[in-house]
Amino acid sequence: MSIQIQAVNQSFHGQTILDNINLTIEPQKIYGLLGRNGAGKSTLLNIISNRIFATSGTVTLDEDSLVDNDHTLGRLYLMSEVNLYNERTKLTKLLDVTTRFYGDFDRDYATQLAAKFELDLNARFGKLSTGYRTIFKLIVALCVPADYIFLDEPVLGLDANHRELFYQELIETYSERPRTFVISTHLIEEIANLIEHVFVLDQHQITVNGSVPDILDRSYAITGPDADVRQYTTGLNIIGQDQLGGITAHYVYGALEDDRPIPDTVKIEHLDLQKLFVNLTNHQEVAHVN
Amino acid sequence: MQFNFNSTEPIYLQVAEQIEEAIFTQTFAEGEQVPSTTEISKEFHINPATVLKGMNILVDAQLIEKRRGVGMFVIAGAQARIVEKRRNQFYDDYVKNLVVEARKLHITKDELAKLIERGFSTQ
Amino acid sequence: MSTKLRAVTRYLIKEQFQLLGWTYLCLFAAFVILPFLMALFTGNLKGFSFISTVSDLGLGVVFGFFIFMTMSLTYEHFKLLIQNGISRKTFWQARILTLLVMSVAGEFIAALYNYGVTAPVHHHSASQFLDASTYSLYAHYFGSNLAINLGASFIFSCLFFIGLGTTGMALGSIFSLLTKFVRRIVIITIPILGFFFLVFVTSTAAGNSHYNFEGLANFVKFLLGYQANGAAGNFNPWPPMLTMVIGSIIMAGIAYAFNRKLRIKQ
Repeated sequence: MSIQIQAVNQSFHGQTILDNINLTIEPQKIYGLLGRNGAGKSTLLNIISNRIFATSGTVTLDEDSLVDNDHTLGRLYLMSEVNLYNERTKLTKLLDVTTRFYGDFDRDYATQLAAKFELDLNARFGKLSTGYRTIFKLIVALCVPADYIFLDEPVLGLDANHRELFYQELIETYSERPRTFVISTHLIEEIANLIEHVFVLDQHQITVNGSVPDILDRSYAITGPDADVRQYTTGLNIIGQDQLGGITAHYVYGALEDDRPIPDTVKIEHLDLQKLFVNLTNHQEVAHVN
Repeated sequence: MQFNFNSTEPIYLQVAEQIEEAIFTQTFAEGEQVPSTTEISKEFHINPATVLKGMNILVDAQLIEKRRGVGMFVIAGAQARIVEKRRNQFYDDYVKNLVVEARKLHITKDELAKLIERGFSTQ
Repeated sequence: MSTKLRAVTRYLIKEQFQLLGWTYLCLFAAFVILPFLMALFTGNLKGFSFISTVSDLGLGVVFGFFIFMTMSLTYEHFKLLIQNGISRKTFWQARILTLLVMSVAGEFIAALYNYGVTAPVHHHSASQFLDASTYSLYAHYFGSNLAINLGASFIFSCLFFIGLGTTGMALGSIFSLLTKFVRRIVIITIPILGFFFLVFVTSTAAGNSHYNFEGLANFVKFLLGYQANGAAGNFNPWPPMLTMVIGSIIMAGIAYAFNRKLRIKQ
């Protein structure tokens, strides 16, 4: 019971976009897919949902292929950043179409959500602002009877109130009907506690794949006088650093040396997800440290 | 209810601590219902599984109990149990630190005792 | 038939009927209402006969264009369907089913119009009308039984529409795989090539060429069901029908092959 992504590679005109991606996406969990612009997140989501084809590798759902297969494709839904709806079509019609193809679409909940977000369902898709296009696509994503929902930039163009409303509704519907959500977003802080498991896609590869508490448990900020910090972090996996006056902070991802004495002057704390992500994917910084 | 979360401690522990604190201050009185997993989850954008993990710590500590189909309720005697637990931890949490800091500041044992007396008399 | 295939087919057929309705409405507006208004404004109302204008709309020809064009629309549908978890295979199957249904429906409407409106208005009997139709070459092949000849004409037209539709599907599928740039090149070069081809054909026909097309001509004659000893009207409809069936299958196959490669453009 899971989506299996095995040895997926994608290249375009000789340029690597995804490099040997291997992932398991389990049922009824909330995932975060994090990566900087151009890391290949949307490409990966498009491959999983069979909108494009991988150059090599396989994607399966419960061991059935996800390539050109109604049974498996109908069990997942990708809310994409790209707009695939006809601009002239009315929203109610688009909901009709989704109901027609997905079956058990929760129309009542969709109407409820539209009212909460103050979205006029009689409008045409093309007339909506960026934010309201996102809202409409979100409503569809939350009401569709699929087991795996992929949300690519789900809060694009949404104001603070609407983002708040979205997260609340996401949790509400997830609690009522647990299913998998994979959220790809740049607003890491907002989903840091929401996601159970995180994938970091960096420079076309998956560099982090683990449960959020485990990941955070392995990431540290070591702060103190420059010399002491340097001495303590020698040989550790330093992913970044900050400096202010004589105070240095080294960010470490991975185990610390347990038997190494911690100098009194040095403070060790855990990183939050945002800070960890920024340091993990900031390549200039690392080059500078080395 | 107002929760304050920091980023350096696991969230499920913080959930447990915050609810415990609310029981201790009788924000949630004994016999009363505590907010549901979903409510807490929605309010603070925390994964429901994480919230549940925090709640289960309190269930194990016999501070709250699950009533089937209704929700979680504060057990009678929960506050007393928290008080007892905190008294046991008082030495480790406060006295030890107090002495360490006092030493750094060259405060003698007698001076510290006087300060404690002053604290009791002014409050 | 799976529920998904049924759902997609129903969706496509419904959409086709709506589009067809609009097409006929536009046709009516362009060839009836517009001339009427022109006559009204130029004060030439006497020269305008509503009945004869209404009876002269070439519904069959229009439907041929319609089925070719709508069947070539690929990417818009693909986008919507893949968004809704429908596979390419189901999309293709649904389109084939839609084409079959629409071809029969389109020909049925055209026949109803031809024999119910056009023929009576022009005081033609059904058999006279058949002799003036595109099927006139074969109109007497099955003897003098009018019903059989009409039936054959009906099937003949349906097959023709299916052939047009599958060709549209094939071209549309190929087209939707091309990048915008290549698509533009194709759109520009095809008329140019067509022009040269026309020049070539006319010069050959005028006898200025040393190419010998006799073999080709004979082949075309065979495909058309030409009977050396028979007059037009007694041509054999079987070879062209078979050709259309085989052509449709090939086109549907090409459409299938390219359809499988459809992907969302980024």
